[in-house]
Amino acid sequence: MNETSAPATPQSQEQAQSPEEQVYQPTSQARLIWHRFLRHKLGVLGGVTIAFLVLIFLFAEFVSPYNYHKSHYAYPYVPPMLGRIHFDGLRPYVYGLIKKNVYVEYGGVRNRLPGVLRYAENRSQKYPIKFFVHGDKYQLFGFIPTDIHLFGTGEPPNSPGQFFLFGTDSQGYDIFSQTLFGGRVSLSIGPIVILISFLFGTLLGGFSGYLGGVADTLIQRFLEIFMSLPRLALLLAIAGILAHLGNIPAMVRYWSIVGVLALVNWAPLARVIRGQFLALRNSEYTQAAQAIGAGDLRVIFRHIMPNIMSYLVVAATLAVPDIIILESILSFLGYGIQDPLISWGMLLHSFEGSGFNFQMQFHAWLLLPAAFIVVTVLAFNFMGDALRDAVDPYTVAEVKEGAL
Amino acid sequence: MPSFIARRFLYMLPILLVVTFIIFLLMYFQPGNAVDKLCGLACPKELRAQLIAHYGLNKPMLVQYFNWLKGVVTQLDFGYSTSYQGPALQALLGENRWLYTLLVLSASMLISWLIAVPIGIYSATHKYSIADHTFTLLGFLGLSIPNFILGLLFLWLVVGVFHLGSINHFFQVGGFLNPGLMGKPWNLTVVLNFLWHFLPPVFIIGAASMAAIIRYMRGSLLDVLGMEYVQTARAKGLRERVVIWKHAVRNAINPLISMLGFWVPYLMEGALIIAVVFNLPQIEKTFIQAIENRDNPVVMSGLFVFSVILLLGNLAADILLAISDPKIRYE
Repeated sequence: MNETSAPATPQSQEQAQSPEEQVYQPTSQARLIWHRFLRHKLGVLGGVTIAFLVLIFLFAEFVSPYNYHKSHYAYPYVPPMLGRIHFDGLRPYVYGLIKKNVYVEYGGVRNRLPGVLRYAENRSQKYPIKFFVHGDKYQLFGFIPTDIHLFGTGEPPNSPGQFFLFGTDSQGYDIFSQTLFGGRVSLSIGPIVILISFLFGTLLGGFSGYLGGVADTLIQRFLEIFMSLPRLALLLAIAGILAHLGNIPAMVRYWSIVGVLALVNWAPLARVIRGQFLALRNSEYTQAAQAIGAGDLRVIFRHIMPNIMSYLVVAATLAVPDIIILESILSFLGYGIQDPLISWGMLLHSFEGSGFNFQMQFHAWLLLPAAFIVVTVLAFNFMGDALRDAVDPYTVAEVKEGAL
Repeated sequence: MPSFIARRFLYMLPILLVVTFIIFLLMYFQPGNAVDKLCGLACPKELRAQLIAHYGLNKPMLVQYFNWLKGVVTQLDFGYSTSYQGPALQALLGENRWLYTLLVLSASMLISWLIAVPIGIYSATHKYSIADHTFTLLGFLGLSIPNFILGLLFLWLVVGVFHLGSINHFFQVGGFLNPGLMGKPWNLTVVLNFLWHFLPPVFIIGAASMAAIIRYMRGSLLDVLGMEYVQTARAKGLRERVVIWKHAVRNAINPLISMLGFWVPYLMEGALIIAVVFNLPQIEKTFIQAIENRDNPVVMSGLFVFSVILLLGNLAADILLAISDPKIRYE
């Protein structure tokens, strides 16, 4: 992606020489990659999806109709109200909620089904859904105090006029708001972990590939041992220890999860980087740089790194979904993010263990956050695939398998 | 060949040794120790000191490690499991749990290959047909949807949408058999019920590798079909089936076998999480429960067993590759 790499590629030279292209300025490598990327419809779609998600998660307080941490005790297990939006001309409104118990007849006796509720609409109460409505107070970006939400009914929490887009859970938390806030953790943890893994991977993989010889062998054996550890089981064991440490602040927990995820993930990345370094170490321009007396660090950072940067970006993008999945597995099992932070995997926690049958049968909408995991993972995969083709349509096909 | 296998096997041992050390370190640096658990918080000071001395917990770290390692090597003794009241390894593997884990792992690998390879061949020979596009899309979804979500989705369809369990008790989910059928002698109903419980997890665990195999098989076969020897085979009048299966596929499948070792860890991760989602009585389920109960000896033996399975899987992949690829010399 760096402009210094442009002279080394045959494409840019060809373009400068071919007659049709001469009216244009020579194109930089970054621009070429960008144009090739734009040709991939699915890749662009993935990129746009990620950008959109990042945007709404940044403004989660504003987009979500409720404070995600405020419980509506009076309205647990409300089904999604997505299908209960009515229209008065163009103005949307919802009816008031009426809570009803569910009864089952068994052996002639009518019994209340515990833990299951049904909600009916009270047709006599109309609550218009307003935009830019005053609701729960919050601080946008942590310092702008306001109470304006993108949409909502603007009713107090005990009023029947609530608008739970994705329904509520057992405590009456609004799933939609929780999903938005969960996205912050789930989406941020992937790139952060990959960044840290890459710093380590580049350091160790780079030295291993560049120095070669005994250092290379030693580092390679070390990586091999690391890669013969069962990744998820190790992750769970460490996260289990962390979880049993007792009450640590949620942010400390967040960063410890980041650390653990980076710890079990950097080794394969180091292998990819080592392979790249090994390939470029003997290239003509590296030798030329060494011949004019450039030091090792200069060769690494000025000559090799810019040339493998695009490979690194591709490998990083393709590695992000894995981290998102691992984090959601950890949180799903209850060893990940902890209250008051929230993540998508944590929202699925009620389906873990023997209670899943009951939850699936009566409260299946609690699975909605899983859709967000799938969409995010798909978006990253699409974008990564397109980037891979864009960076180098011929030789980069092995980047993801480079860890072999 | 035997010498290659023996050398490759011996090569595993030092790696396994380092793995045991890492496992030990993990548990060594954990706050609290076994004595706290045995004796409780209100433990008298003298008794505590006595117990610590008795179990050798006051010795230097390396001495403790070698004592532990000695037990592991000589009698596979990973310690005493407090929640199972018995030897840790026994607690982990007992009640046929090892059999179920092995069965699930090998079945998902076998099924994913048996299904994916023909689909990959079909996709390559019918390039850009509707079926090819469908398989490509399905493959992409299979690679992208995490298998625990795939598992939840399946359970939701069975339990939440079609209510199969309440229509017919045969179609309950969770475990390997309906609770009512456990301990009964094997007959047709029991076998069918076992398959109903066994196959969905196996397919879900295999989904990701299935998708990957389809993708690579298609790509690899397309490469081979462009080779000149395929053209020659066609030119000398061989039937298309012979050209594809005998000349092309046998060469196209080699690169896939070399990736077998790469898929073993993913398969194991899938089995781990699916065992929890489906509540399957496997090693993995006990392992997770041990983490929950802070039953360290079981956690340690679990990590060790998973490492061994992983290393053996890689070994098997290497041997298969050595058999299938004439370019690899193993003398």
